[in-house]
Order: sequence, then C-alpha cells, then structure tokens
Amino acid sequence: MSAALFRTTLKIHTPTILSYALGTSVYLWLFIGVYPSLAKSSALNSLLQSLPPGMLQVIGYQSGVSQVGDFLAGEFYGLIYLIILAIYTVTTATKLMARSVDNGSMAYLLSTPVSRTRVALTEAAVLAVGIVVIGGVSTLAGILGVDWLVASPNLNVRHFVEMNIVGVLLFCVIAGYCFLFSSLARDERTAAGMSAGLTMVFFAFKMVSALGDHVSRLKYLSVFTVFQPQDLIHGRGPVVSTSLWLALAAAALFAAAVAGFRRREMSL
Amino acid sequence: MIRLRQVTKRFRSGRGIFDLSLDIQKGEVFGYLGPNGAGKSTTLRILMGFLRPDSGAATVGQHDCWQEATRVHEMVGYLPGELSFMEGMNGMRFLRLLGGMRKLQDVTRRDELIERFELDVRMPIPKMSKGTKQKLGIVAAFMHRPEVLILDEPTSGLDPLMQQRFLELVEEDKRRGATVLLSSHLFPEVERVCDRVGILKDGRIVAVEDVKDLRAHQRRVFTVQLAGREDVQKLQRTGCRIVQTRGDEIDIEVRGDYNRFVKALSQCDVTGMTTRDLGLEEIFMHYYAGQEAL
Repeated sequence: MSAALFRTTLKIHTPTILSYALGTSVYLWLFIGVYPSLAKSSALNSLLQSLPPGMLQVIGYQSGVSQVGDFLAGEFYGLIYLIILAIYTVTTATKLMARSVDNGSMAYLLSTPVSRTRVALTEAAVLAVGIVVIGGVSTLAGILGVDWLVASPNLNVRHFVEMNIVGVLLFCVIAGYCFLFSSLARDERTAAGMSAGLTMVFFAFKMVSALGDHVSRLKYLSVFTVFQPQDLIHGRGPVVSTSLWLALAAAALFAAAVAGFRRREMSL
Repeated sequence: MIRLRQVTKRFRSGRGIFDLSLDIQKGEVFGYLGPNGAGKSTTLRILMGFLRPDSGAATVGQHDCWQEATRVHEMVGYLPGELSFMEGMNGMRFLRLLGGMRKLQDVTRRDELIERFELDVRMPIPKMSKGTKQKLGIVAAFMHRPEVLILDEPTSGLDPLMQQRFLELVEEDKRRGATVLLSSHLFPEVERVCDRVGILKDGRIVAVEDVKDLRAHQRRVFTVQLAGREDVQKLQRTGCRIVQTRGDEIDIEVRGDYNRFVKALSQCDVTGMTTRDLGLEEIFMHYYAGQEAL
C-alpha cells in the first residue's frame, strides 16, 4: 500500500462512491415507503399464497410480505441491490487498473519506487472500501428508514445486518474477479467486457435456475447463489462460514490479480 | 550507469529490438535517435522494467531492470512518450501524488521547475494543451533530482523557447552529475546537449558517435563572394575543396580543416560569406541511405 496513492485515488472516487451509496439508500427508502400500503393489502398476500412455489421463488417472495424484512429481502436485495453494486464494481474495477494501463497514465505510478504489488494492492483497497461504504451506508439507511417510515417496525436488525454483510462480501468476490480481469486484460474494453459478461452470466444463471427443477442445477454455476437474502433475513443458513468462504475467495482472487499484474508486460 | 547487454525483445508484429548493446557512463548525456517505430520507446520501457527482454540483460546502476525495478525506480526520473495522466485532478495534485509516492520532502526543486516552465499547476489536466502536459511530465521527471533520467521524446510539443529551457535543464542536471538518456527523432533538437548519439534503425543500433568528433568532421559548405575573377582563380589553386563556382561566387566544402580555409581566404579579396549548418541529420544520412538500399 502507498498512503499517498490511496488518499488521491480514494479522493477521485469519493463522488462516485457517495452517489452510489446515496442512490442505494434512496432506492431503499422508496421500497420502505411503499411497504406499509402493501402490507395492509391482504389481497396481495392471498394472491402470493395462491401462486405456485416455483413462481414465488422467481419473484423472490417465498415468505410473503407480512414483514418489512421479507419485503426488502425479496424485492430489493434480490434484484435492485445486486444490479446497483454490480455496476459500481464492474466500472470501478475497470477504471482502477485497465484504464490506467490502457491510456498510459500507469507509467507515472510505476516509475516511482512504489512496487507493482503495492500499487495494485492500493487500487484494490480503494475498490473494496467503496463496496464497504456503499454496503454500510445502505445498511444504516435501511435500519433508520424502517424506523422512520414504518408505523410498527418489525425488522430484525441483527439479521438485516448479517444479510448486508454477506451481500458486501459477495461483491468483494465479484470485485475480485473484476479486478483480476482489469489487472491482466490487454485493454480497457476487454477488461470491462469480461467483467460485465461474467457477472451477467452469473446473474442469468441465478434467474433461470429458479424457473424449474430441471434447470435448478444452474444455480451451482452462479456466485449469486451464495447470497440468499430470504434465508438471511430469517437468520437461516450458516452466516459465519458463508462469510468466511466469501472473504477467502475474494482474497484469493485479489492475490491472483496482484501476482498476475507483477508479471505482466506493459507498453507504458 | 545504464547498460544493455545483447537485449532482444521481439513483438508478434515482428518489430522490437534485436541484440542491442549499449553502455552509458555516469554523467553522460546520450541521445537515442531514430525514426518512429525504430524501437526507441521499447528500449526505454525495458529500462523502466515495464517490458521484460526475451534475452540479454538491462541494468541501471547495477540493478536488473526487471528483477529490481523498484531499486531502479528510486534512482530514475522517467518521462513517458505518451502524454496521459490520471483523470480528475489538476497539475499540483498530480505532482503531490508522485512526490508522496516518492516520499519527497524537499519540494524546492519542484516549485522552481514549475516557475521556470511557467506551468499553471492549478489547471485541470484534461484542459491542458499538449505542450503544457509535456511540461508537467518534465517537472514530474526532474523534481526529485534523480541520478538517472530516462526521457522519451522530451522536446515534442514544446515551443522553441521551452525547448531551450528544457535543454538548459538537461545541461544543469548533467553538471549535477546526472546520467541522461533521451530519445528523439529530430537530431538538431537534442544535438546541443548530447555527449554521444546512437542511431537506431529497425531495432538495431547502426551507429554510436561522439558528438564532438561528429562536429569536428562535420561537413560544412561556405559560400564565398569574391571581388574579381583573379581571386576566384587564386582560391582554386589553394587546394580547397570547391563544390561549385558561379561567377564571383564559390562554394567551398570544409571538413575540420578550417585553418587551411582561412589562410586561403586571407590571400583573396572577400566581399561576403555565408554558411549553412548541415547538422547531424545529414551526417548520418548515409547510414539510412545504406540501410534503405539493403
């Protein structure tokens, strides 16, 4: 790590990180805001009960909408949250390494006595800090929003936080492979294409696998399967071991990115 | 100080540098010349540890450029050939970033250079002109008083005044004991500061010459106007190399033998004299011409 590089790079990316954090929070409040009117509508709940379980899985409402946590887990964390964070992760990871190598500005950083390893680790840290900030701010926004906007809040804060932690760690893994592509790709477009492509494939597998038993195995091909907001909000599933595995996977991917970046050749 | 030993780096396009050896002494200014695509930047990138040679060894101050790149970078100031900087900052923030990464405490040299090149460091980098970006790159390369300077096309984009200031800066750092390797495709631009020049062609060094020797053997043509016919004949008998005679005007070629030329002139009634500096470019012409023929 280089403190000077970290400070400057973080400063450059702060507006982006804050706008993503704010955007996620506002979106979350919007969902919390509509929740009371949905919860009152018994028609919706009975409609959901009448649907086949497979269908419920696709739209993310296995447990109905009797609790605000279920509603957020199903509607927000099952889709919007994933999309927002995926966009942040793919674009920022690409900018941090591939763009600087592609346009040549990396030459200035690498001509200083700060080693390639340290440069790459610093850039990776900025990427990870962004995910943690966006995840942290939206966790806080969720807890406060439910408190303010829902008349009789019945959110299990502990489970909500756990769900967010696993979400952040999931995106650390996604950031890991995006950073790997960014560190090794020939140019910026290749890096962005590979990162966005793989993420979309994972996302498609997650969606398709819920459609029926004969395709359910596809879920094992998607990193998103690790993140089950519906289970997490009820405190089901091995949170600690899942988190550890995700953290390990992220660390391994970042380590691979740094190792690859050390060895690669660049026309700077 | 800077040493390349039979370095080969072949790209898939077939270009690259081949079996290239070069030795640059401490305190020397070496001009690395050649047309675009000859392999100048490739050589400099190998020295910076951005590219790894296929074979051979490149060292700066005894340190291997690939294995010990960090040690090399401690000694070096580098100006890349491509002018692109990080997005979203102004010139000062960029210089502070590099200073911070170098743990540079003393910024007097940086501020002095900013003033000397009349650089507006508060301007956002994307708004800067090509020349201004080049100046920013030069300040970044020189601000930490490096022992070794590796400069890729340092004069490109600079106006004549700033080119002069840049050459003065190189001379100043040379007096300080710095070793300088600078590339250029324009000989006259760098001729003044270089001790030696090497000519690169298709990835191979075709000539390395001492600039002093080159100057001494430089072919110069003087056009002398004389008072009358008899003076022309007198001059023709002195044994000077006469290229052309047009009435009272005579073109004489001189290669280092100035004394004989001046003595011959002293016997005649000279009414005017002009000369044209051929520069290194024309001296090296035959290298290129020869290669072209192959």
